Amino acid sequence: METINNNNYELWLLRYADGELTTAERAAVEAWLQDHPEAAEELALYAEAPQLERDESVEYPLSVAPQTKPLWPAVWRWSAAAAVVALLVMPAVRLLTPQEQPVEVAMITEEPMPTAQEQPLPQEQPMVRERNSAPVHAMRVKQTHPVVEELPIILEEEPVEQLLAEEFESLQEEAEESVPVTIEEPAIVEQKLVYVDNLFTVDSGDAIQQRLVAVNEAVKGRLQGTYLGRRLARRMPTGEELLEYTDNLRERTPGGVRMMADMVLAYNESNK
Amino acid sequence: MTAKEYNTSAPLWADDAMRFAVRCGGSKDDSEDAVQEALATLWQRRDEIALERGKGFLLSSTYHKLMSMFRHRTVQREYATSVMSTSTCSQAPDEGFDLREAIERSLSVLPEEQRAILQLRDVEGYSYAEIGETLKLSVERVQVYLFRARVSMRKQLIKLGYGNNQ
Repeated sequence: METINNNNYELWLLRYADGELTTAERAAVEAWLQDHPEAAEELALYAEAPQLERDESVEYPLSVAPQTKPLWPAVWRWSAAAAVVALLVMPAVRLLTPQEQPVEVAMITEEPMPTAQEQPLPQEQPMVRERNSAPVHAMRVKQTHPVVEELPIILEEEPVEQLLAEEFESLQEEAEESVPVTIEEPAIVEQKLVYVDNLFTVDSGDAIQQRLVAVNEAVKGRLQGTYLGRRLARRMPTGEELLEYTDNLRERTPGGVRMMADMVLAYNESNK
Repeated sequence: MTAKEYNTSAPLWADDAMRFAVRCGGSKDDSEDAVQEALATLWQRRDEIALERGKGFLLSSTYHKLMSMFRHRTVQREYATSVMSTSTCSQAPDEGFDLREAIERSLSVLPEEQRAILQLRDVEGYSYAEIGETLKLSVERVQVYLFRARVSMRKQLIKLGYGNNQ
């Protein structure tokens, strides 16, 4: 380093104070300070300055869940969550071929589906912060779907054939815009609907990490090449999100259910 | 860094990042926004960031996002700083603030870079090289700024009445 002078004395003095200089260098600095009392005063000020302390009163008040500006329409996100729940409960409920396991199907389908009176409508998630100017955040994902008067129990209350036909048509249109995918006939989809709807009666617990792992698995290859796999791969949902979506599964659409069934089937196929 | 490691470590780092942002002069809201955006960046790039580098990345990202916000508000900020500086210099300790508050006031007149360096050095215990990496400055620049920061802070404290006996 260049010898101490008016342009670099701060660097020298800091290293002097830190004890980083050799004996000869220290002597040179001290000699220079004799002729520069203002610099000597700065050195004294530097040495007297208090050290900053950690201010424990300051904390980050929000969730650390990552920013998740939604890239999917809500239906896809819900369906992804639904699919994950389905993955978790699959070992317990093997209904892919209901004909082969009639007893199991019967036991589950006999469970009364909860009605709006029995099950409270999902509460809107509290906003993490109130300011309008804040960036989008995972914990502030706000549900924009309308509150339904009665929870949709599709298979019992909706004309399934009509819904499936509409769904089939819309999926075809959507598929034409992207990579070609296999779209199943409404009859098969209806079978899946029954299967998946039964899954809702099974308590899957709130193992967020497990759900994340399941989604990871799905994205990492098990579902590659499927329509939902591509949808999922666009962004990884967080555990918090999945929890929120699964809390709202009752507001699913036929499309969401269908997607969930697709994912379950694909996952099951890959595990055979 | 895995998602699990992120979930475990990010809450701890976020508090430090928040303190860092506030120390650099960010308001509560600005600091939250900066940390939030930095967390999002960390999450998005977690696969390429090792766990041991996670906190440094978060602090660095927070700092640069905060500075970016400041640059967009130069006029307002210069005004606020001038008001703060005036009021700081005119007050005496017997008018009612303790050493801790005096230190905060003495910091408020420092440039953001110098405040950031003080925080990283004193609170986070970073080496000069680590500070340089975090703030994208050379080690020499970090050392010079640190020297100036301490000298300026001490001068301000003396002006505030905290002379030899703190």
